[in-house]
Amino acid sequence: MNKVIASAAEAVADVADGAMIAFGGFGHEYTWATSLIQATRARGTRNLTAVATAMGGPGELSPMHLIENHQVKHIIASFSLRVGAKTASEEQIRAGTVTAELTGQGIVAERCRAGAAGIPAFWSPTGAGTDIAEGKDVRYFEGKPHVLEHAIRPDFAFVRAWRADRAGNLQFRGNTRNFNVSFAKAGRITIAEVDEILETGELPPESIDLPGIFVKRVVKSTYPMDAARPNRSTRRPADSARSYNGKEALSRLGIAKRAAALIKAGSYVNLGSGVPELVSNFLGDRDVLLHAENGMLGYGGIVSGEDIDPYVYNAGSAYVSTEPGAAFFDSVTSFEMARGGHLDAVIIGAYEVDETASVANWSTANPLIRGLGGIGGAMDLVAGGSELIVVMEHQDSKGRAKLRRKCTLPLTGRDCVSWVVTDLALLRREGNKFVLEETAPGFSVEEVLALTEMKVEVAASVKSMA
Amino acid sequence: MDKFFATAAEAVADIHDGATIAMAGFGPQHCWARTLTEALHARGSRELTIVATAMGGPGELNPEHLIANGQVKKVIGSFTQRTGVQIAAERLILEGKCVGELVPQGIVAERCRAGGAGIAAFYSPTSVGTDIAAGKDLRYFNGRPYVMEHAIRVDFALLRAWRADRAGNVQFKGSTHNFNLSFAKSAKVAIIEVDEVVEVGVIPPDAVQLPGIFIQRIVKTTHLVTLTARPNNRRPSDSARNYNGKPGLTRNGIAQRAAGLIREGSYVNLGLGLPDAVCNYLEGRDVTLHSENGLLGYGPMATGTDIDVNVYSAGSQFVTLKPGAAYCDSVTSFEMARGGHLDYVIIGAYEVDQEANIANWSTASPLIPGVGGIGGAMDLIAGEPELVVVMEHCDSKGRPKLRKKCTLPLTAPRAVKWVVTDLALFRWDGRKFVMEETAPGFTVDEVRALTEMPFELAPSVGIMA
Repeated sequence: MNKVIASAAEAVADVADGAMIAFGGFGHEYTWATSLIQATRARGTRNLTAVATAMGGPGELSPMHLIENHQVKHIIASFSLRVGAKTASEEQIRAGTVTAELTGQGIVAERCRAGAAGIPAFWSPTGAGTDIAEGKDVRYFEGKPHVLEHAIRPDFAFVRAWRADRAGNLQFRGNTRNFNVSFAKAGRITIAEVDEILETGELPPESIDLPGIFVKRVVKSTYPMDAARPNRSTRRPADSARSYNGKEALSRLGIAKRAAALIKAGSYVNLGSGVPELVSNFLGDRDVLLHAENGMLGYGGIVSGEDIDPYVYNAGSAYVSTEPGAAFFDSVTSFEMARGGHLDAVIIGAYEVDETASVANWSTANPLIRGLGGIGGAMDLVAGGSELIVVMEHQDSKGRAKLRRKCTLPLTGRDCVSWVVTDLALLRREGNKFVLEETAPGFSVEEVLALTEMKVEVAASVKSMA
Repeated sequence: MDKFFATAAEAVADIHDGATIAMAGFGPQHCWARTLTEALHARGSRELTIVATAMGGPGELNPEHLIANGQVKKVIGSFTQRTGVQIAAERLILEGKCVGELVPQGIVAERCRAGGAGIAAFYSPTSVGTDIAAGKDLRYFNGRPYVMEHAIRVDFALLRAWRADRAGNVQFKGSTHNFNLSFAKSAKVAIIEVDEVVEVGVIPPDAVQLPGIFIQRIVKTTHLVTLTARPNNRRPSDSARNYNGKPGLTRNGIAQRAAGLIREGSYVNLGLGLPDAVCNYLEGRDVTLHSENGLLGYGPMATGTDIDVNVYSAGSQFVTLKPGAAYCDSVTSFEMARGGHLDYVIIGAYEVDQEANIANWSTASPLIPGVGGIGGAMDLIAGEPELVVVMEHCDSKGRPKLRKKCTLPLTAPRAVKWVVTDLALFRWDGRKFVMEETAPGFTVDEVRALTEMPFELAPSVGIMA
């Protein structure tokens, strides 16, 4: 069995107009099947449907490269735009020339995996009660609503791996399995782009991450990986603090530090991007294992310079260290951990939290444009029923309360928040209300309540956030 | 994080009466969590529900050990019966003292995996149109019927692996992953029994096969693996049955003819018994064999010093590996099957009928609910591979096995593509069976007289070689 094809151009020669292509890749440009994407752009195939967790950034050799060339008519993804950048996908969705279906990150992986496993549909708690579930069948299991998610079977999958043997057995580097495993299984024709091709038999059976039965074609990558790119810096300085009533509240680092202290020893914890990422700086030698939804358990601090392994990065695409006891896996397994309730705590940022413990964290658009947004993995993460800690500033940049009576923005999850840590206060969910437990140094309970829209109960003794 | 427990007794001390326990293991007895099973037997917890693909044989440390001890009130598995011996599971179900729920092998893995993944239920093509689907929700997708299968979440899982670090990261040897991954994910408390416990950091992140988040407790085994090779063939495969005083093809002959049907470059699953022997006729062929316990790319059966006790096929035969072989767990293995990634499936059968229906899992009449051995066949067929049935032409009582209508419980409706018997080769043309070849020394009319179903003749009927 020899599945090696001489060039990317030959490997994609039968990708027809109207085909559905699933693209493995996460975060960094070099984790996409860049040669196959270039070849598909050169071929000019049109009316494609692109399945991926995200489309990539402007000018990147990612699905975005094909969108920029107007080759794509439909997108199925957890991010159809990129925060802080003007992308062709956003422009074309707004213009109505491209349609998009926003799907939770774990559900993108799971729907393809179902397609690969002969399962036409499954009942998932992810996104139940949110706009994403609109129009989908709902059924209750053990009193909880679940939505029916349909399998995806793409015509082609473009996956990126470290090396392959001629029979199509694949190995990945670091934690770059991400969607490649699920998509490879789902693709009717799966094309793997790799750095190295080995003879069949050179990969020992126990080292094979993806068996060759799921791979039809193998091509050698012509795209050199640029390992020297700097780590992304946080967008805002972490030690800056906002002022309320003319006094400084906690800095972003201060919020992260307080949240870190809520974590019990021996926990498995997922940190969202933004402020939650900073929590990793306050875990020191705590017995806590961090989960990154792109496929890693047990990462440490953010690294720079020579400490960077370009194939080990967290869900925020920051390069991280690998702690003893770390494990790499794919997105399906990663979201089993999330949706299946195996994580002890999840820490995410939010735009709004309300009295019903519902959280809104993925869109500030008003009105919401169908298919436009970035829901990422949060809906799966909150579906697992682990302790959900929301970290955010107490008010938005226009001075409006983020702790609302009722969320005004599209929900991420209903009745799921256990703790809220802001730059002014710590609130704990108890029964059907939030209890104010601590206030930031220098702020009175009355001051905090005046800046809060939701009704909260005040603990018998309110402490100062340390 | 230190999940190590000094003894198995401590690790199972909170397994209460009425608990649901998934027990991983497949084939040879060393693949069960034997020390944990022993400890649970000693603890004596009762009214247990056991989830396992099979209950194992008598006298070994496996689910059967607990069942025989009267500790189990319900079993959920793909085999509650064992060919050639009445196990306690079968006896107690027949006596009404235990309830059996027969679940196809891939669905056992998938239901537990769904439980572990937060998925409440899913639809599956497996078992549609058979007794196993009775009473389940049916729904059509793209015009095809599927049954709804509910997730399983167990209180405990008893697992077996090669080694673990103290944080619970696990590595397996050979093709022994089987149900361990799925069951670990499904359990509130997953307890793993290993040969070696190593410090955290010894197992590199890319070598972890089951991340520690799914494991709560670790114990060291007191039953290290010893070679207990079973005889590789239950019946001599060079024996031939006589029809009209003349020998038909031997079992090897049937296997050889079936091997000749396989196209180059194919992925093929071989069922138990006669199909197992097909692997001996693929030398030099570009064919990759799939074994549902989690092995892709095995070769001929291994003997003597070639045996690696951790490398065996679904028929529990120790096998050799071909270059390019890969191991996987039962969930992945049945993705290959149910998902249609296999080109051929070769299985034995009790009956095939003129509508291409197949019956291969029970000869009981009447069928007792919960008793039987359905194994992985229903998943294998659900993936719509080219299905090759290999069997003798008549049963041991001389009754034709090629029937007008199957009398035994179906494994799948309208699924068979080829039938290879010791007397003839038949091909399904989409509407009916066509006889393509007869065994040397047998005429078309002789074979027809031994066949109940009607069939057509190929323009030129050849001789089976």
